[in-house]
Amino acid sequence: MIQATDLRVDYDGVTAVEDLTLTIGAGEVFGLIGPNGAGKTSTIRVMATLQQPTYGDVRIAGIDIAEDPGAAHQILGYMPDNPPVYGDLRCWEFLDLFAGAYFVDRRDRRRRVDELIEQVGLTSKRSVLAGTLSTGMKQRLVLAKTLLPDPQVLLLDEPASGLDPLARIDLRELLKKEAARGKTILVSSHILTELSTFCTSIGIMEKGRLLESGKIEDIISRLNRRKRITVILLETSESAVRMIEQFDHVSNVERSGAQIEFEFAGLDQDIVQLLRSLVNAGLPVMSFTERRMGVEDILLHVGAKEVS
Amino acid sequence: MERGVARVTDWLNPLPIWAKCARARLRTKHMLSWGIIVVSVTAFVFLMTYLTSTHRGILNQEEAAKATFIPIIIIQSILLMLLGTGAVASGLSREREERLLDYHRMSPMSASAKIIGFLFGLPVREYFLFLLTLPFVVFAVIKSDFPVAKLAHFYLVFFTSVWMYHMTGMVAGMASSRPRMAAVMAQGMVVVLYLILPRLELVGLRFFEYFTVLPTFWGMVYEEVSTTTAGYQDPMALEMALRYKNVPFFNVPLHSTTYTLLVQGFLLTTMFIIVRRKWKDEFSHPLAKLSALLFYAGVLVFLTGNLWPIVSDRAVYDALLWRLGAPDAFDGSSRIMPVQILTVMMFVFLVVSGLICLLMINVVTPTRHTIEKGLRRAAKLALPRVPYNSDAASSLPVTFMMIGLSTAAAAALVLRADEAGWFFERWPSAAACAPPLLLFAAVMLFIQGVRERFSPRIFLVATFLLWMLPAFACMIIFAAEEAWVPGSYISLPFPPMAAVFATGLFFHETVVGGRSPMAGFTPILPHLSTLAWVGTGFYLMLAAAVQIELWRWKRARIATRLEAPSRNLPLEPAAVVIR
Repeated sequence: MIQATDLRVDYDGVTAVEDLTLTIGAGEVFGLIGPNGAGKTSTIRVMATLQQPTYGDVRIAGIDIAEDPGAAHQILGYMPDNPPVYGDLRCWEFLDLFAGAYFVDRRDRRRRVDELIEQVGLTSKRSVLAGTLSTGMKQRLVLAKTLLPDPQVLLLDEPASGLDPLARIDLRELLKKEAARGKTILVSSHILTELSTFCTSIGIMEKGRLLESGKIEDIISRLNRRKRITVILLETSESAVRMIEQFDHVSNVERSGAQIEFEFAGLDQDIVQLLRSLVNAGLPVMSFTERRMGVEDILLHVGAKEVS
Repeated sequence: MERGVARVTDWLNPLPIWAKCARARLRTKHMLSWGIIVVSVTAFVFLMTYLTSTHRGILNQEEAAKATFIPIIIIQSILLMLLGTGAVASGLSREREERLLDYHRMSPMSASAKIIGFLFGLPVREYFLFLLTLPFVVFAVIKSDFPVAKLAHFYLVFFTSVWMYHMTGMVAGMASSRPRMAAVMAQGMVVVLYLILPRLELVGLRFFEYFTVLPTFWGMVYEEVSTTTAGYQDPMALEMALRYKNVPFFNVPLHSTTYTLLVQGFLLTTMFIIVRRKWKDEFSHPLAKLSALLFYAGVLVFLTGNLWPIVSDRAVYDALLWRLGAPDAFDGSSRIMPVQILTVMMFVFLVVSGLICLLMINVVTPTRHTIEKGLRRAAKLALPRVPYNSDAASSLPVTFMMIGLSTAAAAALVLRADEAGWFFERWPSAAACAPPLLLFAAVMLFIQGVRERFSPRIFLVATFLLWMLPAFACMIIFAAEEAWVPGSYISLPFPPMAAVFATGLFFHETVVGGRSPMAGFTPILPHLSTLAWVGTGFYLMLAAAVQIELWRWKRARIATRLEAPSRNLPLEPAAVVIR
């Protein structure tokens, strides 16, 4: 659905995005992760047709956005970082403006505006001036505006940065719902917890470069050549440590009380063999688990160290 | 079918944006506070004029009612032309600065609908305040029996001027990212349009006078206002009415209103195109190459149309002479020689058209960055070349066409003057005809080459060093040393000075034995031909050098830059900040 090729963005001698090639399939929720200044906002602004790249192409649903931005606008919804609002308009007036601008039928306009206000939890603030809203509420208002034309592709730049924990949960649920409706969502963030729970794929950016991208499981399996195994015994045992260390494919053994952690480069059958040996040696094995990698582990492997 | 029609009307409908502006700027508290101020001030001015005149018996009721028009029109002008323009410029600039414009850029409304929405929406409060002054106008019309047709005529031009200024505000708002700066810029532009440019009418360029509502005011309202019920007319009003009734345009006397609408319509259309292009793509040139060429051709038609009657109709020429303060203009005894007037006129024509040409070159010349992008796009779309009208195409062909148009216009005027019979005593030699035209062409080609080859910063520094330093140096030499000959040679890199000598040489040769139009420059007369040719030769060499360098650069570098940056040399820093 979104395809960026050889993207490069320069600002007066500073390269914000460099050689970025990225493909996001239809219906995916793609998390663009990276520290501040990694080039996420520039990438999203280029995709939203609001900025011209120095080099490279972006296609959205097959549309070359440089050649036909108007057609791209028909399917795009964009929410900027720290989204601005018209401070001198009431919340419903703000949404009504864009309902008109997106040609929502006059008879449906009021219903649609009220529906969205309710969806983002701003019912009590319907007639309040948007300028008086808190940052989080402004985010919700702009999210409602973004969802108003029911776009196929959502580009959300740091949508949760100003939200409190409860609002973040609401946002997550809302995005899950939109994703379930088949929308393609690109969401950027420098906060890992925001993305790890609902993204189907991720891209990691640092200093303008895309270090890694793809489905989370694919990245993990690519990085997971060495499995991290944790064994918990009933009591501390030196012989268990020695036995594990002597086994083939084992490295980096660490002991912490009755818990032993190590990396294992062998096949699944070898793990079974190791466990069998420990049990046959009469060691009191309480737990034997392979720790799955999360988004945070991927980041640590890939190198975006500045992400919170 | 019905759906399709609804879709088209939605697309054209500027109402959502207008309604947004009205909601934001016409809240009851704003309307009340501003309304009270405007009604109070207008009522004060109205009553001061009306009651003072009638109670003191200076004017009768009818005349006093007429006299109130002028202060009311001034208030209306301040509201719509000054405050309204500021509101448009600062409003649009704020939208741009706060990135709210991005929302609109992405909405499916047409760019034209959005522009119209903002054009009438941003100054909606000023329109409302204008409405509050109308009852006073209505009272004055009824009381004074003022001809409604004349007033309607005046307000038609008043509103086209207002829209032109508001469009100027939009252009300023799109150009400046700081709201206050944009408002000051736009209001400054209005002042320049009103006070400075109209002065060019003294050399016959009346085009600039009609940027304002003043000619229509002098021609339509002032005459009426200053006529007493007993039939007495102020002589100044009579003169003004006569002067602004018609505008000689080529050999056709156009009605002042028609001419104003033509001029303002032309500028309004150009500014609309600029704003529309900027709206659709913030990074595009303000005008496409073809539009810039058409705009330049239009300006030349207006300028030539102004000068044509002066060089072909003795009465129009005498009227200009009288305007310049020659009281004996009409009896043929004036000491000012026609060729002197023509020299100044043609010099100003060359400088003004040259400045506009430079502006257009600056507008349509691509940066290196844009050229490279254009080449890559052409390669991507498998086009044989970068399209001629695209921003990335070289501005050299357009520059040549603009030089051709200027040459044609200047030649037509000079040949017409020659035909008229009272300007020239003889036709100058070919060696005197060439410098003005060659100099004009060389300066334009030099600027185009520097602008296209180097970054805007280098372009500015280079032109400043090359133009301003010699100008400053020669001024010091002229003032302190009175060394006219060396000072003149030092001044040659400054194009207007080179143009003085080039045009001076041409007209100097048209006189046989009598006083030369360059008589004021006696010490340099023996050097005139050398000065004209050195100045022209200097720019011809510069233009050739820059154009060859540009051609070499394009051949050497552009071909290697079609590959992705990571697979090739690193890109040079972008010449334009694309944010």
